[in-house]
Amino acid sequence: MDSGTDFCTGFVTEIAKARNQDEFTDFTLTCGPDRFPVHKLVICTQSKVFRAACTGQFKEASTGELDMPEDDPAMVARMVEYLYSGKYEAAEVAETWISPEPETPLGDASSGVTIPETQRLTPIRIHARMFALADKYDIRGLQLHASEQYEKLATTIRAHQLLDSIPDVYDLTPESVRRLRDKAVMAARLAPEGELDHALGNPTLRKKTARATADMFRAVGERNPEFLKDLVASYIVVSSVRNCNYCAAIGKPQLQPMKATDYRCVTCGETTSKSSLQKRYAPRR
Amino acid sequence: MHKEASEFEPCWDILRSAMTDIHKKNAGSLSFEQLYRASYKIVLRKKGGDLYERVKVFEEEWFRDHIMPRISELITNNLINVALIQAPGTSLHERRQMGEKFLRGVRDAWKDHNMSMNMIADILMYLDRAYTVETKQPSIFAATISLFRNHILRNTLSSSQEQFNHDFIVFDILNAVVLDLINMERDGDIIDRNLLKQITSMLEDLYETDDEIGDQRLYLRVFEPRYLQASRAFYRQECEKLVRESDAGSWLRHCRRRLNEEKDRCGTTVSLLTSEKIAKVVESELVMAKLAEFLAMEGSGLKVMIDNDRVEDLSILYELIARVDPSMTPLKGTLQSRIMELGLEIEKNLKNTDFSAPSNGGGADGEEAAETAEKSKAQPLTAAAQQTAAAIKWVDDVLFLKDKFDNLWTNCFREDLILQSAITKSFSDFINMFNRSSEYVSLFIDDNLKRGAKAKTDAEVDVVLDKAIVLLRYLTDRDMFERYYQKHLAKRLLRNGSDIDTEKDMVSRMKSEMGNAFTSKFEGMFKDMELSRDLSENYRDHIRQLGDVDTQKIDLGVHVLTLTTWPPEVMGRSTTQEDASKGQCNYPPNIKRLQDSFFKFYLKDRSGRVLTWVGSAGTADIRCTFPKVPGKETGPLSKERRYELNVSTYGMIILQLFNDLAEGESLSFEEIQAKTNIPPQDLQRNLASLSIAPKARVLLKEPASKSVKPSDRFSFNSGFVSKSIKIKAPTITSISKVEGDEERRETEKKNDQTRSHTIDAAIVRIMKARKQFGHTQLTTEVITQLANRFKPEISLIKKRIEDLLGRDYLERVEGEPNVYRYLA
Repeated sequence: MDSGTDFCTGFVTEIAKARNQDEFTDFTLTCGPDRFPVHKLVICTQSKVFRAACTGQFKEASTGELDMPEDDPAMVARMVEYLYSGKYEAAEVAETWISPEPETPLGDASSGVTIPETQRLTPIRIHARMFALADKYDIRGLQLHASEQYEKLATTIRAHQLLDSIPDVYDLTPESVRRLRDKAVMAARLAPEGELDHALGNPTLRKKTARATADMFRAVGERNPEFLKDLVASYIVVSSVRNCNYCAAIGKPQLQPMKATDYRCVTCGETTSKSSLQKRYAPRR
Repeated sequence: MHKEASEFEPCWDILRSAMTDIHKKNAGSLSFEQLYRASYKIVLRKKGGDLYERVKVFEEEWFRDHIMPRISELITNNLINVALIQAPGTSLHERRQMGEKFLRGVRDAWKDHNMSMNMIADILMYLDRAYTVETKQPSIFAATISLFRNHILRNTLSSSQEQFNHDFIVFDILNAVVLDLINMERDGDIIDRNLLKQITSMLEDLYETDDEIGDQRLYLRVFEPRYLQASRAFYRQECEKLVRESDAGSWLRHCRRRLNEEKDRCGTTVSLLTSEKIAKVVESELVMAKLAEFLAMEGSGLKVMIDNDRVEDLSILYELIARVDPSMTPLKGTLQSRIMELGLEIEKNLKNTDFSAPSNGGGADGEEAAETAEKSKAQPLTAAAQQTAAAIKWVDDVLFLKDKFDNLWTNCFREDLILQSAITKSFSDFINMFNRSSEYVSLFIDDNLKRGAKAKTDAEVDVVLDKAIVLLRYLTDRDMFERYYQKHLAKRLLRNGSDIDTEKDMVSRMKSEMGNAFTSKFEGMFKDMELSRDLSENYRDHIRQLGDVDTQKIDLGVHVLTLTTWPPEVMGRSTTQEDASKGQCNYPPNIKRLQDSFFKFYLKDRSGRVLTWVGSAGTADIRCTFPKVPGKETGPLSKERRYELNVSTYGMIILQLFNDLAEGESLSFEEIQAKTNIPPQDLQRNLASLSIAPKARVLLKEPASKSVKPSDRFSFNSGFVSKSIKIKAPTITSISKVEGDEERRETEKKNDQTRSHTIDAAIVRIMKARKQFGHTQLTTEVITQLANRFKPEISLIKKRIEDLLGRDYLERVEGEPNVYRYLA
């Protein structure tokens, strides 16, 4: 590790320590019952929204306090954690936040924004919500981080867990924000295969599982029609997705779009699986 | 969906009332978070487009109802009159007050609007990010800030007044007022610069369209062109006024001041974007427009600046011209012609003095003496010395001129290379136009080296040598200079009249400046001198060893000079007609013996050589005894007097004749000439030296006039008296002095002969290498090869080629009239 990296690590550690000890903090984010004393320098350099709040001529600038009445305190806590460390904890915990009565007509109990009284949030949903929060407050780093975490997790979980996160992905950001939606759609395309793998060698079970999976998709589609639209569009643009060993070897994601006819990787142009395919279907001698 | 849609109105209400508060400067109690969230929600619910439109409508209404009335109030008919048609009858003060009030109103409205729009853009930040950018529309800030442009600046005032036959917009008034104020400042008024700066910044922040394309700032598109146009008009007028009423010196200072002012103004009042453009305007309108007129101004123009060394004026002038014309054309031309004029003036002054100068040794007539007295306060000089003085004066004048221009070049022209070569060229031109320059430069060196060793310090001599080299560089006819320098150097060496180290220093400088070939003769002369010294020593030793003690005790010092390296004049080989018959003079027997003895000694080691004794070049120290004059009991004449007399070799021969003469006898000029066979001219000079100059008048002349005539008679001056023991007979000679016209033609003729040979050699050399060559190329090549020595005339080259054709060195190639072939 060179001295530059040393310096950065040390710097970040020291600033995080200053927040924990409430040293030099000059601004406070409040959310529900929680108060987060922070440094303007840290939050304003990462978010233009906070910057506008701190430097503008509005109430926040004079009171030194920004209230976020409609955000989830657990999420805000993660956001602050990210602002000071570049990451956040997303382990599954019981979320016990009770939404307050809306102070204005803005609150709408049935909207996706409002959180039910008690809810267990899965890590995948936490990432989706963190992404939305990052979008709202314009924190680019957090957006990237959350979407990466989401992508990583999305291919390892069961289909119903993934589909559970779709409302969070589609309701909390506007259509123009594509990053997370694209990742969710791509993961959703691979999910049925994972489900069916559980029923390998058992045609009956396979049929049953397929039907159940289709039902799950239909349910989500009813809730978020845009998701279905994106899914269809995705199949038109990329008909097939496979593992590409070449891309994996040079550090790109292993999953790559493939041409359906000859399984040629669209990204690198190689036909990775050709030999294996040939081997598999070669006539026996 | 219904619920989502219904959310829009409450959110918009919040935003609208907040925007009103912001405009009313009541934003302090508003929660940024709440407003941001309201707009965030609207966008999230896909109502960004509606919000965008509503904000625009709101702002337009606000503008119409609250800001426009304020501005309209300021635009009075009076203001319009003053700004657009410069109506008479308003005082400057009034005009300024009114203009500044208007600008202040615009500025305040702008400041408010700008601040409000910034705040509104802050709360609508999410709208810009998620909606405006996606739909490729101007940002909400750009869309609202430009209301100022559309509704104020471009507001058409259809004035009720009849004198306007066309509509105009507020922007026109704004520009006119700003330009008027700036012109007031140019005229010396104090204006509110800060206010103008704020106005121009506003124009920089506004664009032609909402797309905010960099070069479409209103400042650049609308204001700046008008500003430049108005400035151009202002400076054109000012320049015309200056050329009528002022002089070049104050014009220069004015230009400098205006340029600085405009530069400052860009920083304090308008925009730095304009600095270069406004500088160009001043340069073209104020500097260049009447440049020629100002430079030609009687009494203050460039000529006067140069003549009076107006360093500051010239510095400014240089700076100004350097800005506009790096090739320096306007300055270069005048500078060159002025150098030529001054150079020719030097020559003219000299010529006026030189005309009456006789070719040599004759008496100076009264007129000339008077002129001499004018020229220098010293005692009336001999004619020859006057010539030298003229040469020295010429060189001094040229060097003075050179110093002057060097000085200007360093102090005013920043050592500009273009000007340097221009100055050098002009100097070279006028120096070479003067046909005696080569001779005078050599004479100058001669004069300084002769006296230099005694009167001047090393450093001073060094300076003189440097100057001489400077002049030398300008000379194109270097072969002429070589000829003169050889002659002068020979004289100095034989007379032992200079410091040999300084001489060598000078020659080595020439060597590094002009190459080995140029100085080979001079170096040969030095070598001869050294060898001769050794030779004389050896001869003395030889005599001593022989024990052959000469009763006369004649001590011999000999310079053996190589024929080719020494100038023919010194070697007694003058080619003038009258001297052609000149043979050896008759030496007295005692001298003859000595010569033979030395010749024998010399040939011991160097058989086959020929020595010729050159009587005209040597000197002799004679110890003379003047007997007591009978009848004188007191005073110096009462005793016997012994003097050591230093005379020329000829003088010695002459004096020896009188040794054999009895008391009271005399010899006529013809008798002396017959006995000695000294050439008449030399004899005349030597007799004059011994019988006229009071210092060494050891001979009496009959009649006692001031010049020697062939009919004169001479006798021994037994009553000679001198305060010093050692007496040097003054040399009356023309060799080391300025030439007369006769001699001069002679020298040129000789030089032309040498040149012919040099050109012949060059042609043959070139043709030998090329075998076949065209006439034009051959001519060019010859000129190139000889450039370092002299500039041959084309006609001469042509003549030489014809001569060589005639002598069968070359032949013409058949069918190609201008091509020659070399014949081996």
